[in-house]
Amino acid sequence: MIIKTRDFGYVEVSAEDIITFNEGIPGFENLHQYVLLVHNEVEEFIVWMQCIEEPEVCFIVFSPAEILPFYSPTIPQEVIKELKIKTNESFRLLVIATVPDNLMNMTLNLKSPIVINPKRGIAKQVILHSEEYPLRYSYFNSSEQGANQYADC
Amino acid sequence: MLIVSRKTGESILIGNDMEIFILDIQGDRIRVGIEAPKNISIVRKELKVIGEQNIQAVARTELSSMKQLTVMMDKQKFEKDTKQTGDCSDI
Repeated sequence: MIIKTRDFGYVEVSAEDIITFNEGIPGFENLHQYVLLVHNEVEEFIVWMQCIEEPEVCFIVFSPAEILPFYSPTIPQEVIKELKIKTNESFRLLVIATVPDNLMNMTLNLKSPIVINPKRGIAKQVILHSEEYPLRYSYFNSSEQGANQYADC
Repeated sequence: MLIVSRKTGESILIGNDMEIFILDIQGDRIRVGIEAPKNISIVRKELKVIGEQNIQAVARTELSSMKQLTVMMDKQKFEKDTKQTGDCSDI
């Protein structure tokens, strides 16, 4: 199917790439279907999470594994159950970036990551109960401090 | 702030048409029932905060700035990696 995107015009996506947020995500509760897009000139850890129903709604999300080695949130059991993630299956974790004009001030929402069950194509933005991870983690300004704070060394 | 003590099964009235029920207490979790007119928005606070952050996050970003961001992050990552391998050994 062909969808309209905010940043790349019209893009063809396959129906099986669609991820569904049954409850939407906070602030966008009425939107449910998204696709993850990457751009060949941009590193793969930067992902566009494009809403299918509303082309102007698109999030820049990051795969944290590469850029935030200290980040290993405990996903609440009720979420694992809701997304039907079996113990031996892996899930995908993404964090939403807020990217202002001054890129140095980019923040990442580590408090509420997106958890995806890729096999079933369902996802949820999770609110972690612990205070360990901030809502606005400043990647460039506090990363050194953050790395020291969180790394196990 | 007004503070009142309530037991399970008791409730609090707010104005003429809102009632807050204490349904159940288990450890540090309290189940609260709320009766209020339909036009009153009731939302968990953390959901509102995260919703506001999400709305900020969808602000338009240019592809060119994403490319620039990649370069900045690669540089940062490189610096961090070298710093980390200097400081502590890989597990």
